[in-house]
Amino acid sequence: MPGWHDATKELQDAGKLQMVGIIQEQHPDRARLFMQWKKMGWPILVDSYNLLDVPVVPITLAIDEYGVIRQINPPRGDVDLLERTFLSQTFEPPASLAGERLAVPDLSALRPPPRSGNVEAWKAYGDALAVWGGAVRRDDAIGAYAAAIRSDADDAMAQFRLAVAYRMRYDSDARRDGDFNKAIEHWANALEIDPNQYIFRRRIQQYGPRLDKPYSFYDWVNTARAEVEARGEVPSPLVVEPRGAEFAHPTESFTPSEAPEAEPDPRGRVLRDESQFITIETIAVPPVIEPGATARFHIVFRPVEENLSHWNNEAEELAFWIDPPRGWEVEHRYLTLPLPPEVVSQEARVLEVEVRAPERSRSGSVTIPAYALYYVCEDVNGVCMYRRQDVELQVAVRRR
Amino acid sequence: MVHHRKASILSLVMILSATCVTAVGAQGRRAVTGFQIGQSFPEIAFPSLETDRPMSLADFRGKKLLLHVFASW
Repeated sequence: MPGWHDATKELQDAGKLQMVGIIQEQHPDRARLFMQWKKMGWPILVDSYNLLDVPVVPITLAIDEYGVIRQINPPRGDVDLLERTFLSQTFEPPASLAGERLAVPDLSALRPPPRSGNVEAWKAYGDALAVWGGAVRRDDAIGAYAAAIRSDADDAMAQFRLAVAYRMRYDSDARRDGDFNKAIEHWANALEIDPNQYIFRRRIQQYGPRLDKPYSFYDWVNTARAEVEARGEVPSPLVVEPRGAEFAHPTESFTPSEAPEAEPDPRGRVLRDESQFITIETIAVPPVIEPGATARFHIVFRPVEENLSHWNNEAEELAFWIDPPRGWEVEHRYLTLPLPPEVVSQEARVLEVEVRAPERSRSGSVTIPAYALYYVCEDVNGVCMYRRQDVELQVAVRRR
Repeated sequence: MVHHRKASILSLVMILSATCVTAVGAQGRRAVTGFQIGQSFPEIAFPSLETDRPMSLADFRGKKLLLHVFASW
């Protein structure tokens, strides 16, 4: 796409060609940084919920003055051909012109379908709330898409859009326990129903294991920021910073650590934190794997705000120990997280680690025991403690 | 005469083959992208990335467009 932009710059400047983009991305602000980096200032429309129902990206369409598609994926960057076969052509208006742009729904007047409403009615209601209702109506959008799925659990797009809404809520201040897990569950459902839908597949791959990755999704972000700053500009801010899996590069083989790793609390003597100070959420991506396949666990640690819990950053770093069942492999059994410079802090911390199921796994749910060790304080100036919290990493194996 | 008939049959086969390939190609393209040449682009409004205000391709009526459906990854 930047290739098209550079190749058609003169045509754009001369008013002979208008470039427009529609982004199919969970986090639209990342596309804003991308556009700034590539100096592409044309209009972008946001379609995180895939209302267009496209199965793949990128797609380039040459569209005439009447809104009619004249070319699909013209040879990339071949401006001469585009001029001969599209820009210099005169097209007749279609027999029936499409009507005016559909009005944005009046959300205050919008009413839910009856309880007996079908999947399409609930999906349309959910779309209106999700796209135009913002964070204020996101819970209602989630309810609408959930109702669509109750009406027809095999509607892949309803599953996908429900997942998008859950992940959006997870990335907001209105996050609820389990939102990320539910997003992954419904993306996986959508892909199971329609395995040819690459937009569904990419959302899981964005957070999934390296063996399943087609490429690094956001390794360009740091380069973009550096180059934008070097131009004397301020990089467009990101609402949610990419991390871990989103930066990770694909690999062709799973390589568990062979270095000996010493267990930090083999006798279980460290006092337990029963989620009083820190809550731990674990998410397996994907939630169901075949024998021999890998899953990536996201392990999220959050200080309990109601109890004024804070990380104590003057002590040792957070440590995590994994005890895989026989035959299961992990990248590392012992992981640590670096400490921030502040003396105390209250941020969420995330560890990511990949596991591989044995080739001869039976179908069923598997629990991988693990535990975390950390220093936590009761308040900014409160008592600080060293605590352990036991964790169960759960993933399902299914033989096909 | 025989040669002419063979040539005619061959031509017919080639034309039919070309037609089939074109048809399959067009259908394949449609299946891959979800769009079809000659089809009006759906009149759906989306939020603008810059302003969050509603925008659709109808806003560009009268201009020749190169539309990119994409993601930054």
